Amino acid sequence: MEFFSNLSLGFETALTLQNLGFAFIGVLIGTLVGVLPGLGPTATVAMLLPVTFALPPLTGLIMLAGIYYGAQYGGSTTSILVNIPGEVASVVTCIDGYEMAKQGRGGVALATAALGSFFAGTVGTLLIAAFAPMLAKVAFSFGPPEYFSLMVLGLVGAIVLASGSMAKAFAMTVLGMVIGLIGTDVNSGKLRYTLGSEHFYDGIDMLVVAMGLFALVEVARNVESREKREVFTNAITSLWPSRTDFGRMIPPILRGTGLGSLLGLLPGGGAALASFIAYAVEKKSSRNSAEFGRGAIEGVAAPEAANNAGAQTAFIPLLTLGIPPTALMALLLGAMTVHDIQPGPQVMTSNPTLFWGLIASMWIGNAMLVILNLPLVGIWVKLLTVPYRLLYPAILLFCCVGVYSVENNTFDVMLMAVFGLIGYVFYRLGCEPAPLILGFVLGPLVEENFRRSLVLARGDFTVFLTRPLSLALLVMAAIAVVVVLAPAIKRKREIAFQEET
Amino acid sequence: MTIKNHQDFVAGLLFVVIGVAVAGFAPHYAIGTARDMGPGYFPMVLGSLLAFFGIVVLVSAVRASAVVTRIKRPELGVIVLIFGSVALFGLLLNRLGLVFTVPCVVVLSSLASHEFSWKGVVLSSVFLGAFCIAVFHYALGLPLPLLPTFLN
Repeated sequence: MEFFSNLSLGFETALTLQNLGFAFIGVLIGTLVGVLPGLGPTATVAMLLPVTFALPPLTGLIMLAGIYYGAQYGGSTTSILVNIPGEVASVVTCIDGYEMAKQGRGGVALATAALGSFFAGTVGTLLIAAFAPMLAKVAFSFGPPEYFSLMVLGLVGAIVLASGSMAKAFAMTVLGMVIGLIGTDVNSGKLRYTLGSEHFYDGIDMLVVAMGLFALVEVARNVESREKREVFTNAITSLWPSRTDFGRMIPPILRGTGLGSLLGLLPGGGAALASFIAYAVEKKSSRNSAEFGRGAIEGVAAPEAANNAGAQTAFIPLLTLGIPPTALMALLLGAMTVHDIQPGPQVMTSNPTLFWGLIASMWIGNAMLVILNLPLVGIWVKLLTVPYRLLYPAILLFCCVGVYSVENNTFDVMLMAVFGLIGYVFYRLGCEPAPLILGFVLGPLVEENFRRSLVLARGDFTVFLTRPLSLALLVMAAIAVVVVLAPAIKRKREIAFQEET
Repeated sequence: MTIKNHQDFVAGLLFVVIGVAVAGFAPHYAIGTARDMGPGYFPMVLGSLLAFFGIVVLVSAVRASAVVTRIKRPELGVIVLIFGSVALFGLLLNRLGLVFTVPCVVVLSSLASHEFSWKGVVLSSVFLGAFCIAVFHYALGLPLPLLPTFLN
């Protein structure tokens, strides 16, 4: 069977000593930074990306995948022990996870999160291996109009699933695309919006924008808030869940994994949505529903599994179509480009070792997390007790060094500060940064395919509507907008996102 | 007409201004036709779209049914120190090298904290300085200048 031969090729590649070593280091530093309160996975991955640039492509990507999983897992640890969600998806984990920690069951909550994530990650990886080749085959029949429509669908999906005002998310996406215009136009060689500075001739590096908007803004927000947070560090007595715990966590993990795998495929990234829905489903259907909000283990297991399954299947659109469904995937896309890999259907055929090696290493990364995190949880917890006033200068420094080392350019560091300021202004105005990053990364691709399509169609705009696949994608995007604007759903959406604010 | 949603009103205004500026500048790059697009075509489309969504946001901010929001006053000191210390890293690195830049950045950024203490700051400058030099310069081999230019 092709499926197994592919996977075994992957494991052969991923299981070399060097690759295993870097996967391990990736998971380790990913968790280390991800566990820092107030740094979500997106900021963590942005900060650590430059570390991988010096490595050979596959090893670099494997380390990156490790960082990604580590950052995700580190985020759950902070959610459970400090009640600080690093990202939208772990907001619901906080509810019961923190309660469990208060009751001295923080260790069990962490183990539940780790085991649930591992199971979900395994299923997600298998799904990628099974479905990615099929999707890639479809993608080969795509021409520029299909790619254009697909990206429109992706961007619209991200907008629709973003919390808050949809018009604002639309505007932020377009603004991201505008920032992406800066630099040399590939078709004509003309300089656009460079403000006369040669620093802008090659455009702005994605990391400069991402670190400014995510990492720096998060630091500024945290320093500004005087909130005191209680860390339950002495609460970890036993890690291993009891028999009853296992009995109670397995069904929610299974349901969460199913939900997450499906919703994770949505353009725009359904991982956050999946964790909300998974929590709601458990709360409604559980025999212990009275316990929810007061430390129910189901309330940790289901959203964590859903979140991780979704985070995993979100790789499918990235790897097969080259379309990142979330801001985080956009960062990974950028990293792959640095390693001279243009994600898309051709990677699988032109570079099968890389593709399958990466997939195998995803599973290895997940497995390492369980092995690494449960025994080392004591160390992560110690890290949480370091006061923030000592931590944030270090975070700022790492951002500076990271951005500097991309091009060895101090201008980028100063530009990152400017983007931090811009991001802060938008934070104050209640605008989410994720759509901006997606627009920024996809903008140049959208323009290229838009222009190519119209050249092919001799200036006829109906080309996007006369090709069936392209039409189908655009109709899906339109339906997404209409559905969300429908009064009944609009209300529900507002309620669903209320809990996070 | 009263402004109810202050956040959206300012955001919308910002989007309109940027959108108009981008679209207004697009003709400088030759717009061309749909059949033969110039480098200004796409910027024109994007700028107009941005201005359009800006207007939508603006209008929704003054509607009677708009949610009332206020823009929280930022703590200017914190903001200036945090983003300023990052910019300072960029300004100083090539002149002073890691050895002196790191302590400068640590001290300046630490001033933003509500729980500032000199003892902690001195200790963490020394620790972070040593860490950056050991890990970034030596272990990872990143080409970060170590010493000030006048000492080389």
